[in-house]
Amino acid sequence: MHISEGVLSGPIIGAGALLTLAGTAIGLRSVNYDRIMTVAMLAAVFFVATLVHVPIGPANAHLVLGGLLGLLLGWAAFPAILVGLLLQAVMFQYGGLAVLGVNCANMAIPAVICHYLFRSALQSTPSRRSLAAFAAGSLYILLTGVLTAASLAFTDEGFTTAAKLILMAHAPIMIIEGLLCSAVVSFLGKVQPELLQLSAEGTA
Amino acid sequence: MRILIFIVALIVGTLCAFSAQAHKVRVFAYVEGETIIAETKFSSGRPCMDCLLLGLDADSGTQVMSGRTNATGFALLPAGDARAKAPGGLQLVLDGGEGHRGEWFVEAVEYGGGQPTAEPAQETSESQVESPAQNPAAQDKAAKQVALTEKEIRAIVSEVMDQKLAPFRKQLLNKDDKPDLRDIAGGLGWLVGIAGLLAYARRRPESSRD
Repeated sequence: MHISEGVLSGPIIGAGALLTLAGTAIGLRSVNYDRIMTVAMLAAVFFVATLVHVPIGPANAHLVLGGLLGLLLGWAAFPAILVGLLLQAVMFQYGGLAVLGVNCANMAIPAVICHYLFRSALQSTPSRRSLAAFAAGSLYILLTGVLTAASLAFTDEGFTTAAKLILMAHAPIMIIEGLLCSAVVSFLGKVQPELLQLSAEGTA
Repeated sequence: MRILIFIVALIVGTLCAFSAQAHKVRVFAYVEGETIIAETKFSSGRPCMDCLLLGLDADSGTQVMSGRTNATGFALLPAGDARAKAPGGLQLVLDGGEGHRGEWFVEAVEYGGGQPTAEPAQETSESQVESPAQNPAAQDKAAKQVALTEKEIRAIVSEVMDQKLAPFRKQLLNKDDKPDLRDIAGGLGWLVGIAGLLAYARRRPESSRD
């Protein structure tokens, strides 16, 4: 849900930049630098996932996998998503540099929310873990859509119209993301469960 | 770590199977006759359907016209309105929805706006290259040819140029804008490099050896 340059007003851009700055500062403090490559690899997952487009009628939607990042990284999702969005803006002109803060806040705040809501279930039984991961993946898309619509609230589109359009286009994505997140977490739980401990430790 | 590398490789591999779809909307406009034709597409190649297209006067920035794209991503705007309301050029702004935006600038000369021709409009004849008194044969030939004004000549040349340039315009619009594997690999390299730099910067100092 990359918002392009020239769409948002100055105050919204400023607010997004401040939120991203604060979130990134907290995220950098919470990162375990012994596991920095894990954070980098998850940022790579985010970077690549947003290139996968899902055609849904006339709408244009793409994967994000932010729910997975939130579950595994917590606050460290902020710097991971920020760097991913920066590279996308520079290399592919997705979004923009001026609106980088807003886009990052819209995508990282839901990741942190999903982290706090569902991280405890990661240490639970495999079935609960899968369900929690599905819920995290789906809820992440819903929250990101709401925040993006809120960012567009002060444009000509208005919040209600923007929210309706975004959520209608991304309803199928919610299911796909939930399934993907659930599959990845289940897989990690079987082959590399210590990776799921990242969440419990808050990547510290 | 290996599992994460596997997941990244899986997604990159999936990208090879599907064409990497992009997340940007583009608009490309040209003039044919009395119509400004705007072609719109997402970088994935899908047209931007029923999207709002605004025309802004380049000098003042005020909106002077608007239209909507059809099911194939095309929007048509009258060149006459652009001449009257945007003499300095027309800035087209496309709203692709969900915060997507594309822009294209149409030069005033493309739709006949801007400065008038340098020479005053006067009757001229392209056929009168020789004095009729000097060459009676040329005079007969000249009488059979059509007398055209400078304005008509410009219109004919413009129409022919539009037709000849149309295939090149289409090529420009359809230019592959999807991120290729080189760009993706570059981005992944940056991520790993930044992480490596951070790890190096935060490394514990080596304990001294005896």
